Amino acid sequence: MTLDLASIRQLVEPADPLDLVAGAAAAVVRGVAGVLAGDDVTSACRPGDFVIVLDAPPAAGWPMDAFLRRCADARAAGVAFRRGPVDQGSRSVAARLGLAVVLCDDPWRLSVVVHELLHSPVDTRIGALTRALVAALEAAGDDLEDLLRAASRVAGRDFLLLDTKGRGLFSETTWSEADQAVLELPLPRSTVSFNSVLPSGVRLIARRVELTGRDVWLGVALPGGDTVAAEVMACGLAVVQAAAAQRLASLQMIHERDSRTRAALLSEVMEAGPEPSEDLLRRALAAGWDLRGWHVGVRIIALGDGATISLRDDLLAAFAEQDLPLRAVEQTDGWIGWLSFSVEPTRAIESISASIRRAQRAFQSALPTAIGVGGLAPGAAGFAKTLGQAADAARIAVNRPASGHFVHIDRLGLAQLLLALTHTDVFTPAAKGLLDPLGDPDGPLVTTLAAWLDAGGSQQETAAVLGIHRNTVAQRLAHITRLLAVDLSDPETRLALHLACRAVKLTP
Amino acid sequence: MGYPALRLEMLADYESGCEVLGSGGGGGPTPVMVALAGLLRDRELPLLAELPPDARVCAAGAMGGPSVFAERLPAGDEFAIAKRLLLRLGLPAPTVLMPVETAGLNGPYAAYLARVEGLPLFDADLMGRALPTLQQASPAVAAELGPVVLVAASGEALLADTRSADSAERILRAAVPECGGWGLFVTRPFAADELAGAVVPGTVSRAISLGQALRLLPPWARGPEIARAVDGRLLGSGAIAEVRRHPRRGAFGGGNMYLTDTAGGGVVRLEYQNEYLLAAVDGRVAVTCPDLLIVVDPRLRRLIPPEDLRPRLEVAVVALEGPRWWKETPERLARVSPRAFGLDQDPIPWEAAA
Repeated sequence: MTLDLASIRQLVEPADPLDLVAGAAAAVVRGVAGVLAGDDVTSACRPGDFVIVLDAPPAAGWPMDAFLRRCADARAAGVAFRRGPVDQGSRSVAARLGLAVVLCDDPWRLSVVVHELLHSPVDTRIGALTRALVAALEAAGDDLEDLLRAASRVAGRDFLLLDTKGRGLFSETTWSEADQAVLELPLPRSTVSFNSVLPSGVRLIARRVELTGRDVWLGVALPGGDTVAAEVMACGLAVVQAAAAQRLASLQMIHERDSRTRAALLSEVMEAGPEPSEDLLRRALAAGWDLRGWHVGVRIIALGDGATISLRDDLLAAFAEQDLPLRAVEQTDGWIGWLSFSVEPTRAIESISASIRRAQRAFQSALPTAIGVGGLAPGAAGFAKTLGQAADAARIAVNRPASGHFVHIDRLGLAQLLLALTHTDVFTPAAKGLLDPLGDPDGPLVTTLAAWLDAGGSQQETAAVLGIHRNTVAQRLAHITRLLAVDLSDPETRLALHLACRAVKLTP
Repeated sequence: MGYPALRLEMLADYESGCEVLGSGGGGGPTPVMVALAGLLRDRELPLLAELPPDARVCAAGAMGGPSVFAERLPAGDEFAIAKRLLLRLGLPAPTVLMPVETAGLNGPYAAYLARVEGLPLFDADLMGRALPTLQQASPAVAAELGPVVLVAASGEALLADTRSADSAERILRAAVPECGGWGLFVTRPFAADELAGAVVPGTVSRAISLGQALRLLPPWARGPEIARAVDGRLLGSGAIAEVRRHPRRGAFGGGNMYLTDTAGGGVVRLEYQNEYLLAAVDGRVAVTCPDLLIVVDPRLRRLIPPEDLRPRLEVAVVALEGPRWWKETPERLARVSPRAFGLDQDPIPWEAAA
């Protein structure tokens, strides 16, 4: 049987932390040779042996270099010494020779452990790993990252928290492209564990950690061929998964509690009206809400099925990416959010609106949403007002796929006005006649025209709203110009067409 | 090939050749070289490839700290004092001088003394390279070294009337600090037949040739060309990564340095005491004393002694075959192999490591 240094580490730590000063933890050990520094290593060591020197390393300089060389010439897998100085030159020599060099406190005990390990059945190794993991997990604090670090240290492998597509939640994972493709394949909900060799030869064993609203996976990557190590690690994984699930669940509970607190505070603020008490202002400030500045309400309504609590961080991240410091309070159907500015923002409200749109699109992969945006308003009174406007806009946005489920209240005013004007028995048939050459009122041409006019003539924004390429928009507009025989650059024509689109789209 | 005389225009070559044969030790030759140049301005120094049968040869050289030598220059009459002492002992007057080692400052120093005394210089020495102790002088193995004399720059002299090189080394080494850090060491006058087979021949000429080979290198020459010019072997070149100095063990300090070869990536480790004694590449011992090791700054074409090693200095490490005289019998080799310096390593034959 063979072992790698990582599995050896599992057994001797934490009592004797092994210091790997050169070479790789993946070095495969076939046997063990205990020697003294003065002994003739060449005759004591067989190929694949882990040479365990019961003394400190030889003197820094060529004696150490030469000793490492003799070990490498005897094809040793690695060398262990009692803890002592090993200079950078000797580390480089070991690295050049492909020799793992380990320092420990008790080489004698290490040699006994390696001996036992090499000749013990899998069960013993499983027992040893689980014992070591339980001890390490008990000692680790409440923090999930600390917990995974402690477990990784004991197991000698990194425990990774992954999303359903194999992407690391705490750390960047570097799967090869072929591996990534495999990991993105959806797994049935009932699958709780995963153990397979990926195209790059890496074996990933993982277990599902179920949470309300979304799932994460806890995984470990191993060299593909070592089935024994995989068997041992699968048991270790189960232990760590239980601890990680518990930490995640309590994290979720804290989130929920915070969310309730936020919701209560928000309703107090809304009820307080234009002159909130000093105490309320202070409490709002403590929550990170500055009611005295300028505000833009952003109401976000979930269109898909998703737990808003667990996605709040992703939502904030999507907005932060656009430089928008969103505050958000969970609602049953989404979030009430707002952006606060301590002074009147110099940035045009249109540019803020465009940024919100980009954030909405970025967040789309996690959860499709409808977003309503209120006007810019100052002070506590303005806060309530813009939040109200945002709520109204969002309700309309839910039914407006043509605008990408995005409605800004400043534009809505005009649109509603137009709507009122065009909704007459005289105008509607005329509008239908005008757009008749474009075919079905719900067809691509009418939709594109309407979206383009809504977007103020921006092909780029139209493309984003409709989820099509910009060139397609340009080509459709050219087609529309031909079919209608009109000049789209003429403002009169655009107004007529805009009114017609509205009338046609809204008439059943 | 031997040179018949040492002339002014050969001095620069002789100086750098002595540095090469110093293998990092022997001290900086520049101060003596300045004095020697003054003496050779109008007259050359005859070099003897062979000794006349009736020759009486004293070997001379500085013993002690080379760095003190530069601070406390010789008074000029040290050899005269030594000669008086030997004459008083009833020994014959020397007719020829020779260097103890044609290395570091001792190569030019012996030439300087010979020129002051008006004696010819024997083109040979007792060590063939820089070596630290009197036991490592060839007559200590092949003949009898003593009696020997040590003269301080302040004029005090010490005669050790002993035949044993061990006790001569012990007594003189103990007296060196009292002499102010260094003293002139002079052997008794050897008869020509005593020295037959008991000296390393041609060392002065070898130093001149080595220096000439280095001087003739084109300016762009780096490690490989330098090694080829001195008929040596390049062990590696690159920036010194680390220098580690040991506290004194016995009489001499020491240490080691390593660099990573920019060409092959090999880790070149150099162990030194007074001289560079051993080189290992990737842990494989490649060169040992008595073969020579030099550390060269290839751009400035300057040899770096151990005390000037500094991290990040760009150098080439070059090995040259040492004097064959030491390798002719196991007894001789034992005197100068790594174990003689307390390094637990068998000597590596020059050919074996190629």
